[in-house]
Amino acid sequence: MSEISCEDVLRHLNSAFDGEELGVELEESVAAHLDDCVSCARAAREMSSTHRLMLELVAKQIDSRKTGATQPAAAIERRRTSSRVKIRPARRNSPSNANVWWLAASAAAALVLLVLIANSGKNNTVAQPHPRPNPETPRNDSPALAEKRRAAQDEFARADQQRKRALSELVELERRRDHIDTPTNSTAQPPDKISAEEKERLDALAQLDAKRHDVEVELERAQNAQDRAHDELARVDGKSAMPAPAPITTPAGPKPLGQITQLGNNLDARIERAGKQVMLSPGEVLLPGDRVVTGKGPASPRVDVSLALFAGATVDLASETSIEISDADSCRLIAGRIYADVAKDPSAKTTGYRWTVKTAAADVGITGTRFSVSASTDQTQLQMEEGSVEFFNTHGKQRVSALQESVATAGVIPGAPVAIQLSAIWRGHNDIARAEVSDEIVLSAPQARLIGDDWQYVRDENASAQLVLESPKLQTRGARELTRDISKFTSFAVFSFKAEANRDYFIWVRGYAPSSKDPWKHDAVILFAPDSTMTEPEGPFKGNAGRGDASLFNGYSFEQGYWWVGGDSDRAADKLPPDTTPVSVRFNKSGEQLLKVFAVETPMRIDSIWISTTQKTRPEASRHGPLKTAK
Amino acid sequence: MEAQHNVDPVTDILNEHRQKLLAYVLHLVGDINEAEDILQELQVILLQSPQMLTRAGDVFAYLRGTARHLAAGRHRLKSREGEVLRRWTEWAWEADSEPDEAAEIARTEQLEALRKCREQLPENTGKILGMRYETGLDPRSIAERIGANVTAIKVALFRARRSLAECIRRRLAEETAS
Repeated sequence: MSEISCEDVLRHLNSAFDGEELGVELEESVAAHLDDCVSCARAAREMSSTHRLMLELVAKQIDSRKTGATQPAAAIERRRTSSRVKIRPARRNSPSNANVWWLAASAAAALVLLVLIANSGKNNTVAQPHPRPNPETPRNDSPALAEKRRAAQDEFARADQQRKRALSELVELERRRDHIDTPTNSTAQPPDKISAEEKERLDALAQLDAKRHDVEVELERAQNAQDRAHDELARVDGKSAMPAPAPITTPAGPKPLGQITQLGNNLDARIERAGKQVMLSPGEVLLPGDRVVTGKGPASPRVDVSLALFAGATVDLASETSIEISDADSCRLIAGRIYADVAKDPSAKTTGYRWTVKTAAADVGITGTRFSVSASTDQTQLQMEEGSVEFFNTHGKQRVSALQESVATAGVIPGAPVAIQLSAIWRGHNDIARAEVSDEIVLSAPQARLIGDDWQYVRDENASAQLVLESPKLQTRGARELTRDISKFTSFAVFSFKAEANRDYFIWVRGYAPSSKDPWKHDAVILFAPDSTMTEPEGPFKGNAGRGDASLFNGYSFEQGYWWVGGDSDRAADKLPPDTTPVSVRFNKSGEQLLKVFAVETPMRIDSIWISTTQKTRPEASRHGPLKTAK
Repeated sequence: MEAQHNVDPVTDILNEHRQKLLAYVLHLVGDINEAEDILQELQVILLQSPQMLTRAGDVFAYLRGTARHLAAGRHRLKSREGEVLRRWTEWAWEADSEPDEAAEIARTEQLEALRKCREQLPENTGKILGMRYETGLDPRSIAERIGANVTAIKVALFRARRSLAECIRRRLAEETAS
């Protein structure tokens, strides 16, 4: 364990909750301590929960204020003028209009910026408006200081109004200029031959330009006044009350073309952006020219990165793949393999591709379909799952339809399509979803998430991971009492894992009942899998859990140490355990499943849970799963 | 004819996670207005590309990831700073994946317990906690505001969190027992 003390670790963590940057070295030291120290880890988790609850309380208050009768005008105004470039209306939470106003506001903002940049001539840097000073901030000022602040705030507000007025006027002038800017046919004639109509147009333009010059001067004055008011406020406060705005050097950043949606375990996966490497994380946006690169993986291709493109395509990348997001309509597969699902656009015209995958040997023109492409420097293989595409290069093209394959080699027309089986197509997540589900699932204690305080982690050398779940309290709770309204019981350990629907899995739970006082009253847990059907053989004394999605695992006290129990194993001392047929579970849907463990008769320790399609008989107590045996 | 108000699925999902998301973004940026702006940007992105939600395995984790990215874009967060400790500072969010009825009930009860526990805090501690969370001030600004030492504020926040955590645990245990 690192040398830093527990108290210091928690204090540093506490500072991190308040946004303090600790520095990478200290962070590593704190994290290492928390990884090693069970009690600190527990305290850290509690603090994290409290911090989150405090923030949720604030979020709740904000929401309840919003859903109240009206928002205070000041709050609305403050939000309207908060530190953003975007011009936006005060109304929020109107889903049907959200797109419309966002687009309109963006267009207006872009237009304003374009006007300013086009007319600035020397410098295309536009000052971002200052954030509005907050008049509600309570302060303990002297009357003179308060007066100065009020004056500066008023000046700031006046300048802000002038600035906005000037901006609107510029937009209007630009619109009028566009309207009359189209020259008449006579412009090619010598000046003395200019028509009266053209002369009138040129006069109007000159007037507009003169007016525009005046408005630009007015805008500059307003911005300077606002700067001065900002500085004055900073002086009054004795510090920089509002951060100086960063200049905007371009009218808008590059428009994102898509986003990373899922990541696999490929440590080398990355985005290469403008010569730099960007860390991959779900939600990372993709900009024009970005290259998404995956590193070396296992022999059978797996999905390392999934991305969604705003053009309407989702793409799974296998290992050792490099793809460049060229623009909104196309990408370039440099090497490797992708599986793409391109949604059909019902409003699309019949001509033109919705999306194009370019490779060295040939391009794939898509209107809406699902397919797999793998490419190297001189060859490209296209496999179609659904729909049809054009597969082409400068030498010619092929139309490739569902369940067909075509191979293109650089320098020649793509090969004629040949029929293939669906199973031959690499279908990204659609394949992996099936392959990831194991027949044998072993959930060991450290994988559990603890909710409430019934369960905790303790070290135990006899456990498979040396860490077990322990419910230490001496208690006996009725199984039926718990299962009658299971949602009321909010303390449990929960495991998540992947399993298939409509398949029988047998459940074995490796546990230990340490109580020496009435041990048969302190040796049971209940397993509950929402969205499942559990079948539990009738127990000898206590009966079963009494609902179709939970089971009682009981009778741990009848053996010494850890052993596997497959249901209700209660028995008379001289009899064999009755749970020779274990509890079985069928999940209602494939994919992610939850399994909750409730403390019923405790103290109890749980080492692992084995969910098996084959293990119908009780495993040896020393076994830790399908392969491992205890030392 | 009575108008029909259809809420689109994206908004529906966002509303479902709104409070939790807002709390998370507040954790990242500290400022309520900015947090709300980020949620709005998130809504716009999702309304433009709703298919991304259907591709996300764990919706809340996906929404958090996207919100985090948007926040990072605004603050130009350094890639490594805070990353090492993130699994601990964000443990409470990481532990929460798909909506689950029992977990939601637990959360409501915890919030109620927190509310009661806050009332028991000494006045000054309660005031500092309010400035930190409700006003969104960092320890330095709180110290400036009340004329105290920054370290004293940090210690007060540390103790407040610890005592709240203990109080919540005790309350929930008592409620379960009764």
